[in-house]
Amino acid sequence: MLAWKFFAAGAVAPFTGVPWPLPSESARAGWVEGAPGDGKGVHACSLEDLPYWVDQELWEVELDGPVTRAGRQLVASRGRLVARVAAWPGAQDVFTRACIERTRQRVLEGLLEAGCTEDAERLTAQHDLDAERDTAFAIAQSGPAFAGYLFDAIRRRPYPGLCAYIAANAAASRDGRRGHDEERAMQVQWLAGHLGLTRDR
Amino acid sequence: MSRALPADLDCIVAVEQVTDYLEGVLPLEARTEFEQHLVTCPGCVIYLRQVRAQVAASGKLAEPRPVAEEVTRKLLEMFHASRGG
Amino acid sequence: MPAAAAELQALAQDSPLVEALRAGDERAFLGLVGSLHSAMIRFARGFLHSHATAEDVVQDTWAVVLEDIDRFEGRSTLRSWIFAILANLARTRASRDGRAIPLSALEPDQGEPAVDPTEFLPPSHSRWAGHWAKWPEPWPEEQLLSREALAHVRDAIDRLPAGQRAVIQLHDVEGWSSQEVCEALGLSDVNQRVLLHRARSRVRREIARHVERRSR
Repeated sequence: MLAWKFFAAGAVAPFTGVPWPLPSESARAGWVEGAPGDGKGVHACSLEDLPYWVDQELWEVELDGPVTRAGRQLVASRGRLVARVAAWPGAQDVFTRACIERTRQRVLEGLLEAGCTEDAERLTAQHDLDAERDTAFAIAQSGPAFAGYLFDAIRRRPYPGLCAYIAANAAASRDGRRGHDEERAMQVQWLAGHLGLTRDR
Repeated sequence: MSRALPADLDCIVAVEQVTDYLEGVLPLEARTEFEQHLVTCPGCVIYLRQVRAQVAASGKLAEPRPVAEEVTRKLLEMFHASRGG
Repeated sequence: MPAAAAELQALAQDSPLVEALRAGDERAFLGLVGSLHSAMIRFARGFLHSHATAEDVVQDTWAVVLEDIDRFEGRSTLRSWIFAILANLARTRASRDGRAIPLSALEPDQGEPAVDPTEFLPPSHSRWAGHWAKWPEPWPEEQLLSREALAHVRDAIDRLPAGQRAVIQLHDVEGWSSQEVCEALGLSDVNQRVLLHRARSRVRREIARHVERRSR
């Protein structure tokens, strides 16, 4: 079964620190055995899981043995690298900008709904991210606290996993669980579309 | 304002789980939540790294020292006496 | 390797040594002493104030080991069995010298958090309650391995309450498995982990203070 997995630099598994053997031109990569025991196998992502595990490198992986789902990941007894998704992490910055953009939209909608038109105008008047970030902070101090999510999202741009989480929280603060799930689904769509990840495997 | 989702782990809780995490005794669900938290929290990633560095440093304190000669002599006497030889 | 198999392997490694000891093999005994003696002294110092007293108690321990080696059943590793004897002797000696040391009883401050709660945002924060108010500063790891830093780590461990000190000494300093630590100290899994957690947290605080001071 094919899936995806985020890794630290060098195809190193992010939590175990185990480097996965690389495929070569002529040969497929060696298998990595998961530790036996409750859920201790090899972990990987289906498309929907990706935004929750964002890291430095993204690889297509092949899973072997019975594959089960454990919360937001797939668990298999062994796995191996297939191919690196070349567009990542190059696309990281564009990804976070998209999360920020959606968060901005939500904050603006929220401000307008709350009748804070002046605050909304102040925000749209900003021309660069730093200024927008500081304005969002100021608005959150004196007015609607949810504007702070825009401050957070811009401030945490260098950390795509965190930025995506903030965008999901911002959506949840407006629309609860449904908002959260919608935002995460948009992140999945973004990744699939921009990185050329196809679902049928 | 409501917090996003009650299931999310806070840092103040995560730091209490670090020992169990490193020992490998967190049940699967808790371990997944902990790792997901790390993806969204560079602060806790640093904290975990600090704990690992600390453990590594502690390990450096175990310097094997040669046993003093008189002690070795005494222990050998004890040994032979106990083995009846 | 899974815990059970590693444990079995450790036990299996002991049997030739135990046989050799029983057979009066002097080199086997000296090898064992060489590998454990300084760790035993370090461990005993956690209960006793002077090196001389620690040296005494360690020698008494070897005497008991030699007396009882024929009765060693191999249900724990040899070294955890030896350290269990050492721990009992050290505590008895400490009591005799006027210092009773409860080992497995959890300290009265049962709710001691790993990190000062003021380092996290309060429940009143609208978005980040319970999260770091400020992320910890990464420690320059080479600095941590300097002699000065290691002396601070040693010092911090020495100042821990006896139970925490004993656990962190065996687990982190000597590198034992949790299973062996439990066997040597007569602790349940859970108690051992709580003591380890608390010990590490206190030591961490000392290290953080040292690293911060250096970086100013």
